[in-house]
Amino acid sequence: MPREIELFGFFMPTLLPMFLLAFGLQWLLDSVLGRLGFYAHVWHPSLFRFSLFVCLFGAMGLFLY
Amino acid sequence: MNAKSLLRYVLTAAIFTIAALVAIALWRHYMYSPWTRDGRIRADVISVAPDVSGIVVDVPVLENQLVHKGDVLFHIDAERYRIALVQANAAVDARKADYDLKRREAARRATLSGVVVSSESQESSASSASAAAALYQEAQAARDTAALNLQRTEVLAPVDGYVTNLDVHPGDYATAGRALLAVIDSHSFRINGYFEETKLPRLHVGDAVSIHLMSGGPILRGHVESLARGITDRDNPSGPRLLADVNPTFNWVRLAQRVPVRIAFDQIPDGVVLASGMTCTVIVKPHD
Amino acid sequence: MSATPSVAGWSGAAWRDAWRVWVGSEVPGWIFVAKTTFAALLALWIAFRLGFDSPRSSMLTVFIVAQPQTGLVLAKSFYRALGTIAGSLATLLLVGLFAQQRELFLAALSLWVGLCTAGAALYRNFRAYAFVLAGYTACLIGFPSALHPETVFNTAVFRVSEVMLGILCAGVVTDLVLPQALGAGLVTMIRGSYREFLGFVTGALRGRLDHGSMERSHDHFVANVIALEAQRDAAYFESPDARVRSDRLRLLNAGYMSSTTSIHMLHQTMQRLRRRECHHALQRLAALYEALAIELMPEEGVMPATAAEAAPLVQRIAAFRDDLPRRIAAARAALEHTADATELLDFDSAAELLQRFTEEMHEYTVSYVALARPGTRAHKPAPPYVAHADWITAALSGARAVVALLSLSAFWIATAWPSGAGAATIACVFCCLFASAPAPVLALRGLSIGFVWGLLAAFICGLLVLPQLDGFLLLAAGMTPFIMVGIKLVTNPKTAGIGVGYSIMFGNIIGVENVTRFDPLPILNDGFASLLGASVAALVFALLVPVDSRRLRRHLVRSLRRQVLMACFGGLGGLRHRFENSTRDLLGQLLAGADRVGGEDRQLLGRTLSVLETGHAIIDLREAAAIGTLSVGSRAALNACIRGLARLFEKPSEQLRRQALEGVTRATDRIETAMQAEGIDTAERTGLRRGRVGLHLLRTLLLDDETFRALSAVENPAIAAPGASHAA
Repeated sequence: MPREIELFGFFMPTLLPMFLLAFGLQWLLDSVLGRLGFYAHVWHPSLFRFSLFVCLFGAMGLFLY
Repeated sequence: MNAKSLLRYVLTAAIFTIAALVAIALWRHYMYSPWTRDGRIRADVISVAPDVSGIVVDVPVLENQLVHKGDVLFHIDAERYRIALVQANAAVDARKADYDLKRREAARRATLSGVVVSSESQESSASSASAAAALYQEAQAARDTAALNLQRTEVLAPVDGYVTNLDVHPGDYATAGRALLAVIDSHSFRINGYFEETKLPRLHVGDAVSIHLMSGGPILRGHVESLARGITDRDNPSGPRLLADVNPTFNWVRLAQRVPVRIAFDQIPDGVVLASGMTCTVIVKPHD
Repeated sequence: MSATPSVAGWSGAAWRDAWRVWVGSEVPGWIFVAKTTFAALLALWIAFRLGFDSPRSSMLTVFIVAQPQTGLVLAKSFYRALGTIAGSLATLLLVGLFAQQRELFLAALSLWVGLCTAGAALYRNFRAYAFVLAGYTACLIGFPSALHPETVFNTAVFRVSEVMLGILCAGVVTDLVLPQALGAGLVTMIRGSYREFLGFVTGALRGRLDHGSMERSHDHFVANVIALEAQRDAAYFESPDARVRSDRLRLLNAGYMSSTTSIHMLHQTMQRLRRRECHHALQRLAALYEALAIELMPEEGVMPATAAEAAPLVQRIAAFRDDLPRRIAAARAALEHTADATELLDFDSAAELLQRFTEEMHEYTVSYVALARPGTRAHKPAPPYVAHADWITAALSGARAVVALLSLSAFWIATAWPSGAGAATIACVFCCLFASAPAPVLALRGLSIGFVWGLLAAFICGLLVLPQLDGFLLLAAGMTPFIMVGIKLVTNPKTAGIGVGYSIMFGNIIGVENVTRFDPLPILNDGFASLLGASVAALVFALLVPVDSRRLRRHLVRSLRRQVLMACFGGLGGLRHRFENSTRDLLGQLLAGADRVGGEDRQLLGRTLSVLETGHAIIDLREAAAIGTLSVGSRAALNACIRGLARLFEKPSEQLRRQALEGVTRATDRIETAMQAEGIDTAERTGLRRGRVGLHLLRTLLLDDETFRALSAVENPAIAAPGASHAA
């Protein structure tokens, strides 16, 4: 997996599109969990959400490096 | 109810712990694993200047052409130097004749007794013979120089490499010592990786390196050759009269500086085009 | 607490009470201050760590998007990010096109900023913020690029990164540390407004409320609708829970809006009946109203506390609605003996309105109850919130920004003042930011006061405190008190403007860079540049068609009347909601700057209600005209009547009023004939009856001198804006 990605002739670390991808995934997952009423079983929903995002993004990043 | 509320805390705490671990791992990887996006390909650039001045008559090479050591890069009009050689040869001949004459004369006088020639005359003819010998040698050296100059009207490639910045054309007047083209040494390609100082402890001479060119293509292999042992102190430049010019304040947050690390290619696969100055990402695989 | 005579006499309980009151009122504010300060310093640290060009942008971003509730922060952040990206792209394009010619570039930049400002004025919610950002990001990146075009790409990338970093820090800190969700407040607000409305409706139906309090509560409802919509919009970003409910909330808001209109139209009708002394009809109607009031509130003063408790109401209202035609028919039969034809028609129109109100109240309650159920979809598609888009105001705001920017750019070029770009940027920010504010000059004054204090604080902090310190922790400690002052000011609505000015100035001027440089000169230069920018913006607002001006207000009031034209000619699909919504929005705009003491709000309200009544009647009429079995002649008569009304509302005059009345009479005859005709089904008959009632209502409105005066008052400046004389 390349650590840099080219977009219209301008290079950026792969981490950046990954961040956006993780963001989109998180949004989807969040909606699904919200619809299932999952957050009722969580003490601090926003902390949970944030941790979920960090996990998603971190897993992708570790896969990259 | 109790189990349920416990579950609420446990769920949150669990995912938070995982997230913290993942974040720490990612941070470590990003900050301390020895890799950098700031790698530059470097090669020796030899600037070629003619040794003699004169009008350029012929440039047999093309820009970016691969040349081998000893190939002719361009010709300078040799006529003047050929004439100079003839002139020098003539001077040698003249000196030689003169020298021969003086030598023989001195020899003759030396064999005669002191009654026929005075010792003063003997001495004077011997020294004039020595002077003629020196002049003869001088003329010989001048001839060698003229021969060398003539030879140097052919400018040759100093190394195997690529002609770059070819700025010379037939009819140009080439001045001795002024570079007219550069040859990139094709055996000297290497990488300068600029690593943050925090990453240096995990990086050792001989470590294997994989190199991703920004231009794409296959991943290249290499190894760490050496580390630079000095960078400029940007904050505290040396002032006039050799006294230090120390910054009275300091950064709020200290940032790692970058140190160049020299990386040699193990081998360059065919078809990979390298150019000095190209950007690449360098990832060092530490062997523990 | 105020009754306590002296501190010494307080018992333990009193102290505890006082403590609790203090905790309840002060602690949330201080939590917000602490969170924002922390987020700002976090953003600053990360910006230093990543080596950004101007770390203060990240810190400023935190100051700007900071709000107590997560949803608001996220919404503002989203639009800020969007605007920043758009502005950066636009600048790249502009620099690409006009890099060689500074004057041309600045002109193009001014145009772009003008467009953005116009956009900001057109949308007056969070979306406006995206436009503001698109405008001023272009300035921020564009001005340095005017001198060094080659750096534009880097500047743009850094700017976007800095803003994103600030947004991330603000969002994460607000959401994670002691979060205050918008959702909870929204629930309280919805419950409150439902209960309030229920109480109001029963009071009104029983005839216990006088005219004045009716109008006051209507004013309040308008504000409620707009506030609810804004909160819903922001809560969308907060949690999936709010997103799931977003559609239902919109439906609820639409139901709320139409119910409040209906109840007021009902009230207006009753007022007119009272004025004309139709006692018989009034008597019968009062009985019907009482019946509905009983259904709505069986036990006096007992209202459902939550949506779940309101569930039985749905059935009761539905039962009443189904039974209502029978009751009306019975009442009408009894009335036929005593009343003449006109009074009967009055009764019909009032009964029709009652039916409509019952239907809407049912809808509203259904949406309200549906909110409590988790995870269900809205029971029908929710209509979008339609804001009143005023192109003239928008164009004016755009022009103002262009003028401000061009004059400062000219000043900059002429004097080669190094901080000229800063002044122009600040002027641009304010022109965009206050494009839609009701009193921009006043707001700018507060901001300028904040600027002066911020400059002073930056001077003290930057030149006296920071040079003593070393390392980021001490830097943070040294800056914290200064930052907290600004945010604390923001938490109080009275000083919010000053607080914002202070924070922006302080953050901007202190200009902490990683490599420290202490130099009073740029501090003063930039500070004065910001002040100059603010003054130019204020000057432009004050001189170039001032927002408070009579003319602009009159324009808004006129557009209120012209809303009727929308009812006359707009596409029929969803027209009722669009008409109602945009009229409400316009009223909200007008009320924001209205003079309450002078009674201007009352006038506006009366006018709006007439417009709403007329519009709804016209829409009824148009729906009747669209009935398939109608004869060509009848349809032509109805359409002619609508056109006549449109002409009247475009430019009221006695002559047009007479003509419109004639048209209404002709259409009434036609529609009555059509109702006698054979072979029309029930739905069509209902449509025709509604049209008939609408025509009657229109006739009543046209004949009513008071209504007509309210509508045409705009043409008479003496009545138009009583508050305008001392608003400047």
